[in-house]
Amino acid sequence: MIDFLAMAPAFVLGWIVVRLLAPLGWFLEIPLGLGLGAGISSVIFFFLTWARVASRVAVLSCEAVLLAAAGLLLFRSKRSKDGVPGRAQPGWIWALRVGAVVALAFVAADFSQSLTANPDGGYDAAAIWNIRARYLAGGAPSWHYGVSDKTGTNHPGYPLLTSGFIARTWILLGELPSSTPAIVSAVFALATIALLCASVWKVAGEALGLLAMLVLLATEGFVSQASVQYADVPLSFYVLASVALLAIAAGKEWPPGIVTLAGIFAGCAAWTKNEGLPFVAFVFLIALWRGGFRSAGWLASGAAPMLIVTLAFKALLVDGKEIMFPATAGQAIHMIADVSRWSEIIPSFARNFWELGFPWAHPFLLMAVVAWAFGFAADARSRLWLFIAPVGMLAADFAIYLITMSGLTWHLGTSNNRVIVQVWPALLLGFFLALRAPAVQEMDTRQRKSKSKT
Amino acid sequence: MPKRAAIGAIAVAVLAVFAAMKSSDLSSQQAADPFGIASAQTRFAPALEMLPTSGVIGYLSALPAGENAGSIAYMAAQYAVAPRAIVPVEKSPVEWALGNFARPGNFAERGAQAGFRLVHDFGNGVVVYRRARP
Repeated sequence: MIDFLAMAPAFVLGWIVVRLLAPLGWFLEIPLGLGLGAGISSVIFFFLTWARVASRVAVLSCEAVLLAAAGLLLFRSKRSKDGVPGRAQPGWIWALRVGAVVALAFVAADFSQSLTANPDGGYDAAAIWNIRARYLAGGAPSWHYGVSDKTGTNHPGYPLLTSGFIARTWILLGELPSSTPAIVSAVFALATIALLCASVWKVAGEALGLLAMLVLLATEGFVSQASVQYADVPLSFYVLASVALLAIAAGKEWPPGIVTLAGIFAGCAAWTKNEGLPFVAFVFLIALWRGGFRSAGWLASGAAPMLIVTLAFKALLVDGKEIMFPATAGQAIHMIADVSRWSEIIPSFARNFWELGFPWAHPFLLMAVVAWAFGFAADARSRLWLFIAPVGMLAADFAIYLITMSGLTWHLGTSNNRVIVQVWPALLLGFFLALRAPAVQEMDTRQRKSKSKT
Repeated sequence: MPKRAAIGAIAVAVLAVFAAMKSSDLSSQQAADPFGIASAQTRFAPALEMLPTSGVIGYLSALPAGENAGSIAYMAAQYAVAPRAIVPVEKSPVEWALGNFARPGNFAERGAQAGFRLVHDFGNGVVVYRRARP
């Protein structure tokens, strides 16, 4: 609990910034604010660390100043009345509400059991993400161990959003409890689930929002990653947030505030994991294509700060480099032309998609049932662009596997399931927003009935 | 059509609840601390009080770092002693070193071979060394 309290100023700051830029209703603003708060305070902490002045007082002072400024702006801004969208609900909505609560309870039990067995998460949590947080939390004498391979950090160039936020909280607490990264994981998992539900709800109604949430909760591949304390679930949150905001913006003629916020979340994705870098490029192209130059500009202005921080970190601070890529273009071309690599990567993707869930409740099966039950919207094709960024990320991952210098079998075995998890909530969002919403269905049915009477 | 929607939605809700329940059941069967990360923090806790609070500390072990068991033990030790950094003693001229042993043995001799004297044996294969002065 004390961990969460220490995180609270960051979360409140995130919520205020979301509210200022995109007042979309509390049910969307809260999950968005949790992720944005973690991102903003992680960057503040990174700069304080880089300047060798990171301390409890410095962190709290910076966050207090920003909170006060953002709070003042919020106080002076016009109040928005955008709340939970109210529309007529089908009579069976209670079944979805009960199902969502029960499924969420089981997922919470799953999370709790995983943490009881492994309070420090999975292997990479200790080997990469949380050990770097410990180095950062050590302040001036030790933070550079987290960005150097000379002292045993395996991936000194991995971005620092999650590690930085955990370290910032540890500094506030004055100790390094295992509960902090566990709570950060729980917050991101819950925020992702809530955001998927809320964003589909916002655009297509409560029934589809709850169904999207239920399919995500039935995705064992996602649920099992929630407690391992890696950066994949946080990345999935930022990818989902950015795509969801673009989906909402598209229905409102691309308001600058929402598009800028989508850009900020794309920047957060880049500051979370390397896979976030191609994601920024994809969402920029989407904004340019769907919203035009002005929208692309707003998106770029939102993404730029964290993108610049990420690139500056990699260029100026990281001591050591990844040996993942081939040294020459010729070597890369030779690897790409190797058919055996394709025949290992394609089945691995297929297997990992298959292993996302149990065969009798596989997410694809559930999606097929939902598609049968609701049908696709008449304009579903015009929303296919929602898949571009997540599918593009998978394509980028595929390309990385083709040219990885690590053992391909090992690389696929240790990461292929997680790169799917990174985009899975955004893929679900795209799918559910392509469906015909129940309200539209009822209207269609009424129209058909009145036509048959006349 | 609304009937089909109701049937489909309820079917998905029921299947999702059972899937979440099955996930929870699987999670209750997972092995506890398979990489020894939590146990390393317990084992090394008393040694941390003797070691400097920051800086690079040497690492001495009978487990070869190139092998799987050795690299896992090294990683767990790294995590347990962070924010101090540890590096194998042969890689860095360090003042203090931490011994991490899986089996009983002559730890003083093992340290002496690397140029260190044993300062304290905490049991459980955890030993603190300091560089020996000629």
